[in-house]
This record gives sequence, structure tokens and C-alpha cells, in this order.
Amino acid sequence: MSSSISSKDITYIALFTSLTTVFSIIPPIPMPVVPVPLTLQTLGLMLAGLVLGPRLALLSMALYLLIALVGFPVLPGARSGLAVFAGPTGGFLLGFLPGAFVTGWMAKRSAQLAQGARSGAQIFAGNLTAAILGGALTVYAVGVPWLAIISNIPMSEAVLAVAIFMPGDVIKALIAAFVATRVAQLMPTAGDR
Amino acid sequence: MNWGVDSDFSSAQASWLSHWSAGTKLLILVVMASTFVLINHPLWLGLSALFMLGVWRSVNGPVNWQAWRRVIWLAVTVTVVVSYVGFFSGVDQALVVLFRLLALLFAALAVVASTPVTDMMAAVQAALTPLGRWGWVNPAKVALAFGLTLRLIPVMLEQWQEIRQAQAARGISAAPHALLVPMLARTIRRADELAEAIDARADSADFR
Repeated sequence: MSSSISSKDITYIALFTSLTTVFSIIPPIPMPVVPVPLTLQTLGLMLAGLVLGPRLALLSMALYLLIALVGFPVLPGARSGLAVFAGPTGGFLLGFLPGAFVTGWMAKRSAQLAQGARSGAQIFAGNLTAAILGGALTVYAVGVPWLAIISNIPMSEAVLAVAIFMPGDVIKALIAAFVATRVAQLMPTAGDR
Repeated sequence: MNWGVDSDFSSAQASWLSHWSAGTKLLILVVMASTFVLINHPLWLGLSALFMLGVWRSVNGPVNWQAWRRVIWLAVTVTVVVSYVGFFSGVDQALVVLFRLLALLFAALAVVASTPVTDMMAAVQAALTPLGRWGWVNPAKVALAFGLTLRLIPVMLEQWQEIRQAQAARGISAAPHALLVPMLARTIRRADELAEAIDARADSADFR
């Protein structure tokens, strides 16, 4: 694995790790109704998957978690450290790893299946599916059971607790898909898709 | 991780803390970050925040307020998060979040201000050497990505700020894609430039 990583790959990984950090700490958007401010953190994850492809996106998120683990306040609300990973929301952070991979893999696969030039709408549809299934649902698939076990609550309650994030994640998936489509059209050779 | 304050960042200043090894400081940061999250009492967290502020001030030298004015958004972030918590979970919990946030921030700033990025990379590389022996990771490459990311965070924050101001001047500050498309385009272009710079300079044997 490590021997096939070029300098270009390393700069992509580092840039999307810092991009995700920036999205995590720029002023959050207060959401109507939802009692948690929305940060753009998972937008970083979705864009990493869509632009970088599965391998580099996974490594970029692993680096993001490593930097958070060491104690640099790169998570939303400037949290960090081991205790965050052990806490009730730790599963969502670990879910970033398969989440980024699935997003990247699905985006890549939809491009391969299309065989040849795709219209903007087709690229957007593929990106949107990948961002929702990878960037949102895969992250939930790890985070929700984790939340239920750590907080000792039934799965149904854990799902309800997380439901408030879903509208925000759908909006972020729409934005990520749109931006990644524009980037794919403007810079077709970027990343490792 | 200097949150946009270049003059404080690029040259880690000599201070009592800069004599400690980077590995020790990173290890202490891990322990402290974990402890701050576990503590749930506003008084203890408040004292920790004050203490870490003292540590940071003692290693950082005079603060360049002109530079700090550019990172007002950080105060906005803190205010939004704290008032949200205050509104939904009460004043006590808001104080916990505020002090925890400040304690962590000052601790990280103190480490960054007293440790050159190259030393931090060396520490990460040393910590990962056992894994490298099993062939799981290439410690030199992980260390490079780690150091590069820490250095890039302030650069990317500034880039975001610039794009926001440029778009606001055109009267399109509200549209997220108007900010994000140029943000991504510039980021990708930066990757090309950085990779060239790395290949030109870091031709060392352990990196191949």
C-alpha cells in the first residue's frame, strides 16, 4: 500500500484533510428546528470521496482522525483526543473511514459503468448517490449502533436521535455532488478517480 | 494550526517549552485533550483554560493583534456553539463547552508555537516506526502528510476567507457553490504545485 503513494497523492491527502478541518471549524450554520448547529465537516468527507476516489479519501480521513487523536482541535466545536473516540459519538468518527471509501468507490464505479462521456446530469446523479450512501448512510451504519451500545439505549432511540442530522446531510450531499460535478468538468484529471 | 497567524507560526520561538522534545509534547497533548473531554465541571475546566492560556502566553511572545483581527471568525464559531449549548442545555453546560474549547485551543497553540513542524514530523515518524517494520505504513510518508496538513490548515483558512470576501464583493455571498467550486479548484491546483516542490526538494533515500 505505502509504496504506491506518490508525492502528488500525499499532497492530495494533506489538502483534503486540512479542507475537512476548515469545514469543521468555520462558523457553524444555525439550523431552524434542529437543536445542533450544522457544520460542514461531512461535506469534507463527501468531497474527499468524490474528488479523490476511494483509496486517497480513506487515507485522508485516517489522517484527519490521527490528527484529532493526537489532540489538535480539528473536530467541530474544537474537540479532540482519545476520549472523543471512546464517547457516544466516536462511532460516527470511525464511520468516516468506510464512509469515505464507499463514497469514492461508488463514484468511481458509476463512472466506469457509464463507459465514456457522461452528461453533467449523469455525473451529478452518480455523485449524489455516492455521497448519500457513503457519506451519510455508511457513517450512520457505524455510528448509530455505537451510540446505542455506549449510551445503553435501544437502537430505535439511537436512530431517532440521529434523524435530526439527516436533512442537513442530504443538503450537504446535494452541495458536494454539485461541486464535485463542476470540478470534474473543469479539471477532469484531478484526483485518483 | 496557528489559525491564520503566520508570523507566530512559521518560526517556532525559543522558550522553556521549546526545549522539550516534540514527542513528549504531543504525548502530553493526547493525554490533556482526553482529560479535558472527560472533565465535566465548569470550575476545573475554567482553571485549566486559564492555566493553558498562561502556558501559551509564556511561550508565544507578544501577540500580533493585527493578525488576530483576521481570525475573528474563530470567536464567531465559539460564540455560536456556546450559545447553542446554552440555549438547549443550560448555562452550566455552555460554560463546560466554552472552557473545554479554550483549554484545548490554548494547549494546541502552545505546542504549535514551541515546536517546529519538522520536529513534529520526526516525532510522528519515530512513533510509527514499529508499524513501519511490519510493513503496514511508511512512517516517512505519514509524517510528511501529518506535517503538511498542520501547515496547510492556516493556509486553507486564509484561502476560504479570501474567496468569501471576493464573492461578497460581487454580491453572491449566500450561495454555497459560489464559495466551494473556487475553493476546490484552488485546492487541486495547489496539490500540483506542492507535489512538484516536494519532488524537487525531498529526494531523500528513506522517502523512496
